[in-house]
Amino acid sequence: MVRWDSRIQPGLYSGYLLWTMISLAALSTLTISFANVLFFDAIQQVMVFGAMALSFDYFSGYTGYYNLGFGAQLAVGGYVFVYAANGGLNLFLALLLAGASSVAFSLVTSYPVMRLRGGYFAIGTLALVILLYMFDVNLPEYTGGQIGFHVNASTPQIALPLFIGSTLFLMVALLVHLAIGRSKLGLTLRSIREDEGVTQSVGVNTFRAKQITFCLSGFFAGLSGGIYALYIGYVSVQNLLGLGTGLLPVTAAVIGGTGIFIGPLVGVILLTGLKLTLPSAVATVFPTLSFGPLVYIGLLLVVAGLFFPQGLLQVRFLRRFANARPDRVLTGRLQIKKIPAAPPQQDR
Amino acid sequence: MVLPTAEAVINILIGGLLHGGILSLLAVGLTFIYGVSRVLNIAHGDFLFLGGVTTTLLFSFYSVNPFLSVLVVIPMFALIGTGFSYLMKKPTSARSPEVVTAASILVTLGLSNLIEGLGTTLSSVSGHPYYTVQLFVTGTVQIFGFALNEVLLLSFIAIIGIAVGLSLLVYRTFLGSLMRASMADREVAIMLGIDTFRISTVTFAIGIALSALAGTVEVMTTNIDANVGLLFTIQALTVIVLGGLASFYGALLAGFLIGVSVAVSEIVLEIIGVQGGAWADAVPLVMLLIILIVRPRGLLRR
Repeated sequence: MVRWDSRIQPGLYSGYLLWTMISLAALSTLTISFANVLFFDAIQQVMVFGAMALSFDYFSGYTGYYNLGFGAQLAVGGYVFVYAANGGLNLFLALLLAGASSVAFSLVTSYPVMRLRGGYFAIGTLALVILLYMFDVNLPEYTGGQIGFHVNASTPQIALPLFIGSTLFLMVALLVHLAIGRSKLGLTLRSIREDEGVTQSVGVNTFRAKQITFCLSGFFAGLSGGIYALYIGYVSVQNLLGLGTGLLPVTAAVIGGTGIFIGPLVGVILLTGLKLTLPSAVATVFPTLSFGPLVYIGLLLVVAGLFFPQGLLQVRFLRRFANARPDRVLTGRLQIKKIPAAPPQQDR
Repeated sequence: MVLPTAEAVINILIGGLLHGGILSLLAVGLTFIYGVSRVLNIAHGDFLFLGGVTTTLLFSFYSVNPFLSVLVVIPMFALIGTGFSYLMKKPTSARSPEVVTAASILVTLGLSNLIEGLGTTLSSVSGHPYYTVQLFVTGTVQIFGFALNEVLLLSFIAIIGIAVGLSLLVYRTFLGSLMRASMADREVAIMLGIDTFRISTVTFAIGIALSALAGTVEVMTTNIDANVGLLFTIQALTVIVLGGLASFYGALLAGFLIGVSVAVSEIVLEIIGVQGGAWADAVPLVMLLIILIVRPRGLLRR
């Protein structure tokens, strides 16, 4: 099913992707040479959460199904990584193990969850997060409960390798996102988004296509969950399974733009900026009240849903820039094609 | 291994039936709103929380009898539901169904998170970690030699009355037939001249008011905190899936079934020696996954 089709799109080369990669590399070298702790941390967060938001978008951006259970896939990866790393396994192997276990989790849960369509799918996947949360709280002897575990490997010496590693991981995630979009699988997924019934009637096994993408998304979610655990230094219920963590990549992808590989990245950069500045700004206005992350996420989701449900980059004004090569935008050689007006439609 | 007494078992079972009735009210509202207006209201359980908080505040500040506070709660939340429907008008009138799904999920999920987050803040400010009608003490009634909790019994009777009234509304009135028509085929309903936006506004008002009413009943029997919203929404989804999507009697029946099975599993867990209260919330979620594998069409659909 995953097959290249040169008739769909020309190759994997994209000047746009190349420019994104180059600017990411430049940004990371700049950050390392700058040696400002706060700036370093901010960019590190962009790298970690960017990979998360991209792997969320593999499934939800292309199929239009909202996988709110992304937090569960993330948490499985994070916990397995911590067990493996604290058990003395090599960190790379532990990360791979985390990804593999997240794939197994996604594979098993895809059978019940994929039977739900549309909006019901969103609630059904949300049930996975809540279920794991309950297991985590009720079995503290295995999972550490509210206190959680420390990651033994997380020392200051590992900060620089972690930074470089997460940057490379983000680049791979970007590449995979583009590759899905350009493969035949991506075509299947996009046609599922438009109309699943028609796609089935052409003879496409839509369940298998969704399952493959769900597992791929789970693999990258597990890896980024492991990297997140390594970055934070400990895992606990609130930390991995709280709605604030699980919905952050969702919010980022939704705000940036779903289905475009640059969208989640833009969303994460915006969201990280907000996360670092907004709480202190709110604290000066309301010194006595403390708002959790859920309030901000909820507000952003409502605004996004009301005004740009497909993300900032899908707004008509910005869409031509989202699909163009930045070098051409800069040199002014952008040929703006006029978007044809929608055919007249009867009032429905 | 501790065997509970027969009296306790019967009280737990009635509590389970009551819980099931609450889930039925939620599920009927959720599935009707989804059917008529294509908005899947993830914040449905959070309106239950808001209804419970309203009842609690009315009781503790103005000492209004919780049963009478319904007179305030229902109109108030019907109004909120109408406003909600107008809020969702623009996102749901988009041309492609994909955008409608995206917008409705995002707005309702955001609303749910907002209510949960603000509720937590409110709890920490007011110093009440959870809400309940604490001083509303009642006695017990002797039926067949068993001492039964009065509040449980009264609320249960009230829920049955509401369910009967609801089924009369849906199947015996013109408004109900308009609602069923919009649910069955939206395009044809529009073609026949039904103003679906108006119908969806009415459905929103009824659904949200039912949810808040469920919150009033819930707050009389147990206590709730800001985090229960999503849990109730997911339990309502379990009910909808078990009853068969968009089936009215299926949702009513499945609600009671799930409530009783949660109560039974709680008793069984207690007998085994596991903490039943801690695991009882996980039972509907596990049931959801099992039902989806074994019988995804629901009980009353063939």
